[in-house]
Amino acid sequence: MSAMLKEISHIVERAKSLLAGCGCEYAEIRLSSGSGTFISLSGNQIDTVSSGQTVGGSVRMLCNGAFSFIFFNDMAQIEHFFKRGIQVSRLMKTKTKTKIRSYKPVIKKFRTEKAKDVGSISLEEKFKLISSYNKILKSSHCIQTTRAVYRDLQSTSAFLNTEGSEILYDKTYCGISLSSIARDGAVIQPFHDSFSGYGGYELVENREPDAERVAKTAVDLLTAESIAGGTYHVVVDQKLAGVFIHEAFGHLSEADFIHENERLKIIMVNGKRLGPEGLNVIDDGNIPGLAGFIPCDDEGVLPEKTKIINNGLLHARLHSRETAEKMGEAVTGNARAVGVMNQPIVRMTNTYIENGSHDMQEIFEAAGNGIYAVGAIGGETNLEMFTFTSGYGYEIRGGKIGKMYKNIVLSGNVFTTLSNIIMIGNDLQMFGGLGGCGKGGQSPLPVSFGGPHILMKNILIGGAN
Amino acid sequence: LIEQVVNKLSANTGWFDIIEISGVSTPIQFRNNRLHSVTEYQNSGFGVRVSINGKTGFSYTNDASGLMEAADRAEATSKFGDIEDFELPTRISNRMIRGYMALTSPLRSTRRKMR
Repeated sequence: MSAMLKEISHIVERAKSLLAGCGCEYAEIRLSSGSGTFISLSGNQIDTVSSGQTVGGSVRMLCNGAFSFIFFNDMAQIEHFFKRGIQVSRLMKTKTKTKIRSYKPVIKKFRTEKAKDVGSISLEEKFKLISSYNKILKSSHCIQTTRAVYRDLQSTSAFLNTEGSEILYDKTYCGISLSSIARDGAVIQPFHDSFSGYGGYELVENREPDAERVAKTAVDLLTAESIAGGTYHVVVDQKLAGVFIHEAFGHLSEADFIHENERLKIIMVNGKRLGPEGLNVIDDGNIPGLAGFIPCDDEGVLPEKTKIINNGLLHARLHSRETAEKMGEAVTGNARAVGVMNQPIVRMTNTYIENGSHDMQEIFEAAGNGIYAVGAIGGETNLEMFTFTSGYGYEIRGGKIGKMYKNIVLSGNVFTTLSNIIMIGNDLQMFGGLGGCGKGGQSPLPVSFGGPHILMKNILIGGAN
Repeated sequence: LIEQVVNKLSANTGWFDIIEISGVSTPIQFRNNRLHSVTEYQNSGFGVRVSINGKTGFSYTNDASGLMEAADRAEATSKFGDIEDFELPTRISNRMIRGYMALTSPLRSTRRKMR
């Protein structure tokens, strides 16, 4: 038993007896104890070296059709806070009673598989590693400044509910973020990449080639041309395909969003054709190691491999217990919270476009003349409209990669864009990073996203010329 | 425990702060003229800041029993701090400072600082 698990195990027994006699339709208790390290370097300066410990617990209960939520970190008073939860939910005399889906009891223990425990690595060693990457990031005289971040988190959490679930999870999360900012006169060109996942220190070791690539790309982009605006055949790489499917489409398949939006209810009807035959979009929280891995969601539901799009047809959406009940569908294990201090809401996990049958060469030959857009540095969505800025890109001429471009901004309607997919590659890759997804004031939630290379027609690209 | 930590830090550091914060908040939300949610948050914790060889280190915990470990971590992080180019104000001993909210409402809010 880990030291952190020992810390909360005596509270678990008290939590179980509270749940046994609560008399509510449903109640759950989440407990967590964790510690972490954060190191941030900028250029030649040390921004932050910090290390701390947090404990916390929360009670969420559904009494007489109303939810209450209490967060606390004084574990010794769990009985007091549980009683407060009952008092608060009785205050809420709702006209419309909330109902939720019930689920089987889950009794399991989970543990992150890791080769090197971050807890056994000294602060000095972690500092030395991120400093070595920072040195590579500033290796060219064109690099104006850098930012290198290391973060790890070890925690033990317990989930208990009135259905009899008892889930214990020993979790280790680790990652780095690397940025170089190149400058030539008035031209300033940042480039960034980040790597994270559930695992040990091995996730962040041997990343020298990645740091070299970040620095080189930032410098190369100084001399890259801006693309001329227009409509192009576009090949998107695995990362941009993943960002597109998470940001532009994935959020629209979160059932709380659909249920509250009349226009989306009309658009997001199961069985509707959204893309070509062979287009499959998946959300699957049960992929160990990836940033969006969850052994169970924050309502005690095991994650499903949910086929959101099946052969081009809208097939399912992502649910919490509450949205599944409201929409008469099955739970999918997508109720997640950034920590025990937050209530679970519908979120994605690991979201991706499944492999198709084409290799990269076939895709570039089919593109003929167009643009190859690589990575993503930002963007925004407004219902079905999206705008993403690709990290960089290349001209495609006669099926071959040509000169480098920067400032490639792709815009459009997600449903039109899905229907404009011509070819789907067979080289799926998944991406995570130290950042994460933000929704309802809860950020960053670890998620991963990805896809194979994808060829799309008639994509609007904004440009300087 | 605080006395033990104070003794340890007095011996090992040039100066140190231990800050304790605790509070309770109750957000109440109405949507469309209806009570939507009532939640309650209880939060408390300690921050430890130390100066060793003219360099500052910091750590935190929200588990009161982990204060000694927080002090250890603060000492460890001080090795990476920049050389201090500031001076702290004169000594304030064990003074309880109350915000005006504490005088006018039953909400609890205390902040204690020792140097």
